[in-house]
Amino acid sequence: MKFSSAILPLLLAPFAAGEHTSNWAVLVSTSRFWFNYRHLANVLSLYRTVKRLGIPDSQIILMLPDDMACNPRNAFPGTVYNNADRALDLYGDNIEVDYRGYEVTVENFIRLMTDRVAEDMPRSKRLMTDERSNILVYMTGHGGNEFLKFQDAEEISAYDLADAFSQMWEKKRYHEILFMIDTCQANTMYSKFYSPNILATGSSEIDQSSYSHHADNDVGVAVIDRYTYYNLEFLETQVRDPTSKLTMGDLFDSYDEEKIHSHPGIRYDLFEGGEAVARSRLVMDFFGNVQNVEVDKGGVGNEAQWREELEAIERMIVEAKRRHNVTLNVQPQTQHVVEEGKPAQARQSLKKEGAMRVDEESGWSKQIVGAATLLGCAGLWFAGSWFESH
Amino acid sequence: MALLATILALRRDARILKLPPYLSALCIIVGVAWLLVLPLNEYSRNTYVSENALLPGQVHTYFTGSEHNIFRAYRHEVALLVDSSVEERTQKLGDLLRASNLKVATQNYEYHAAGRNISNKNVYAILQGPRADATEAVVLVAAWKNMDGEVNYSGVALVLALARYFKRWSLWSKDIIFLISGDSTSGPQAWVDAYHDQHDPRHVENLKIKSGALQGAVAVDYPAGPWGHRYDKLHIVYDGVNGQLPNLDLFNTAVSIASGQMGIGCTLQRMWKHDDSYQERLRTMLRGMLSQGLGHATGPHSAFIPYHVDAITLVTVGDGWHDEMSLGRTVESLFRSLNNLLEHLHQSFFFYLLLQANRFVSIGTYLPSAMLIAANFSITAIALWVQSGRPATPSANPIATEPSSSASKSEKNKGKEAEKSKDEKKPSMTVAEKDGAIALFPTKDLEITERALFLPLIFVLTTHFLGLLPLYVFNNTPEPYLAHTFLAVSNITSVLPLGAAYLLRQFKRPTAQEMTLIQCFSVLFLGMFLSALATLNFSLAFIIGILSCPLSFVRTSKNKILGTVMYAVLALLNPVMVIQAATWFFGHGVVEILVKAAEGWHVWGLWTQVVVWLVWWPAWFAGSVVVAGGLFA
Repeated sequence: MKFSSAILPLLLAPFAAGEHTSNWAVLVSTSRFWFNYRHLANVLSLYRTVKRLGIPDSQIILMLPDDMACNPRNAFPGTVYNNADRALDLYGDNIEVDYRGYEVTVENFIRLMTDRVAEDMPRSKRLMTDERSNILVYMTGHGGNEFLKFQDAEEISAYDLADAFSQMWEKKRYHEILFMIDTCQANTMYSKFYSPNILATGSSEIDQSSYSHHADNDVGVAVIDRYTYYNLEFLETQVRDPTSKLTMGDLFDSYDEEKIHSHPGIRYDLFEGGEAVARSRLVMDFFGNVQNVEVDKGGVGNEAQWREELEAIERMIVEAKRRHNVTLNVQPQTQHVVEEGKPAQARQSLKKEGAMRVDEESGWSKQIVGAATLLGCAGLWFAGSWFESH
Repeated sequence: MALLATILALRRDARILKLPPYLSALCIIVGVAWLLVLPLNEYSRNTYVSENALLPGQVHTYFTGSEHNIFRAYRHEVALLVDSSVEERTQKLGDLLRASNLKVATQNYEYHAAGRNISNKNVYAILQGPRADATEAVVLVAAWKNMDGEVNYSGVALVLALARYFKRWSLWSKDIIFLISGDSTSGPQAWVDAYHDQHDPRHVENLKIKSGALQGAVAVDYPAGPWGHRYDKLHIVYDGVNGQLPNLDLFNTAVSIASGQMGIGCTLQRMWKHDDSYQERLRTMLRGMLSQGLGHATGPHSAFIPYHVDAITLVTVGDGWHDEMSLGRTVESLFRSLNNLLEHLHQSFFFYLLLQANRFVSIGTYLPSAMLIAANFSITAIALWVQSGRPATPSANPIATEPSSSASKSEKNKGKEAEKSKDEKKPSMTVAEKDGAIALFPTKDLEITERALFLPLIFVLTTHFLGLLPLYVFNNTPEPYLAHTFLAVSNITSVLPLGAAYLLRQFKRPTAQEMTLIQCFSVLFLGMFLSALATLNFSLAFIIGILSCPLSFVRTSKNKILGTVMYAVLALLNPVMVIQAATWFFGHGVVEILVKAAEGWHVWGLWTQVVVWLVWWPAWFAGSVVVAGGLFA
């Protein structure tokens, strides 16, 4: 009884508190060509940040339409920088690009999000989320009113994106989504969303451009966009380690229109609980990996509780041993050990079944097994009483 | 129905026939006025770089410091070659380029034009982009002698120094070709022709090494001697052969880098001082139009433009404080921008008029000007055609229900004499009946006038073929005879219309109608041609349109004095006389111009002569014959 009352809250906790059990990130740059260096640097910066905060490569889908590091125009071959100080090579020696070059298309993006992919699609190119997954979707490129251009060839519209998210919700593919976009007129891209639990933010309003932050005069191109730059600044300087308790509200409050040169937008209304709940979500809920280890801060009361629990477990063990010994005392005398073994095993499996029955259907086969077991027990009892009487 | 009938009847209204000359005049006036308002802020625009990839001036330039010493050393090397033969010179320049680890080749060329022998040798080197795929190239040109015939010491030295310097960068996405051409016009022409396999191997040697498709070319003209000369401004020359222009983005990038990044002022069309006033803008525009209209090569870049290779020449002008290194850094930054290109320059305008370094008028704004002038000829042609198809004296006002009622009223006051004349004018009428309706028509209007087309067509065609004669003569006469030839041609063409008219009169031929048709066809052809030309070479179409606009208004006149005046006006606008006057006005010799024109014809592929002799001159000739016809009537 004690055991089950201790286990039950643990089992129900995620359902009650709405916690997630995995974190995924989909990071998309949609533009190619050398002069769009900054879009790839934006995405690689985010990639580096989420990796730093604990999301493993296997749970990051990185889409890069062009390879700036190997562009002949790159004065620093094999590198991508997001700052003119060139202190940090984003390309480094450990990046995993999942979709690259001409694979970055609207179709592939939507297939990825809704998991409508062929059987042979490698796992690295799939978004293997479930209804307990939090997803960070970051997009950057050239956009306009309710569209985002992919590679100078096609566009994804705000409706496509909204429908894709709606399908994801129907297919139980996410728990919560943070949608972040840095393009011109970015805020129009999330205006059509209608699925629950999406927190969306964008760099600029309708009819507003999103601006680059600065250019590197040796690389010869702009290296990062303003909105991304100031997001990163917050993430790099405030969210130092995965235990950070800063909330999304803190991140949104750090947006300064003076610095970003456009009006960043935030959409709370789809989130269950609205603005207050959305703002209270931790930054780590989206940018970091789930860390369900509770660290107690070493209080005396806690130690006493811990001892109590230990004692309770000890008592449970003693009780279990005692029961085991009881059965041992009964069993050895008979010649029918082999015969009796079956009902005993059946009883154990019955117990297991009982524990699991919560979410399983009962069928005729199970009814029969139950009846057989009961009959077995009755037989055992009769046999026992027959042995005793003789 | 009634409205339609009225409109149809209006066709025959005599007043309609009076309208076209006024319409023509209106077109010309509006056309000229249109051009004059272009320099205003409301009609012109600030330039902007349209191609995203160019990113002008966004890179640090490092062509400084010790590179300066290398540059000076090269300049002394170049100065030593001044008195050498062409062979020695190209050999040495090739060795200098080879020393920078570049592939070097030379090319001989030899042209004959106006009895002169234009022969020299190009030397060029190819820098293969270390990580490039060798499908594209940009060209850096320095002619050994510039357009004024001065030795381009510093320009050549700069190309040598930049070749050595560029070789050390690993970031070129295109090959870079360094070309030191023998002269400023024919040398680059020979090279670029051979590069595209469009050359005549008898005159121009094949290129031994080539690279990818040319994406752009920049020429430097810096004739400062071995001890240097600090300059004040960069003069950006952009006119190509036949008035073709490079993409405006290239010009804008150069201006943006020179003035924005390097702080060097930019000027164009020899406007050394430009205070951005209306007059200065207009003057710049007119100079640009003149240069475009003539269509001659204006620098080493001109030869590239017909091959759709955008090109400009940077010429240093004035005395100032900018040194050779700042020009080198400008070129470096310009090449970094061109290096960023992902595709051929195509974003910005190819048809534009520049008012100053950062202000332009695009084709949509200026084109109506030349089109209106061309339209004036078409209007005249239509009017003449209609006129040729009617009786000699059309009825005064056929649609009025009571003919000449207003006229009779006023005439009544004048008394008897007028009454008499009115009686005389009374037209004979024909009664027509259809579907029970009865109408009265002036009998004269029902007569069908046949147009005699044969003679006018033959005459106009012959006139245009006649133009081949001066075209051939001027392009193939050796220089010493050009002056006499020109004199002879100007004399002959001045009296030829009189002679032709007299001759025709002897055969009692061109009737009044045929005269009208001759003028009609001639003007029609002129109008159609000019409107087509306006889209290709606006300036040439505009200039010829303006110079031949009297052709819309001259008619065969019985009045001898009026006829003589008209003939005198046309004689002044004889293309030959216009050439004479223009060369005198701009201070050039006629022979010099004719020699250049012949060179243009044989070497650069210049088409201006064709337009002058096969379009303008025949139109003028036909118009003059029409006027002269009246003198012999």
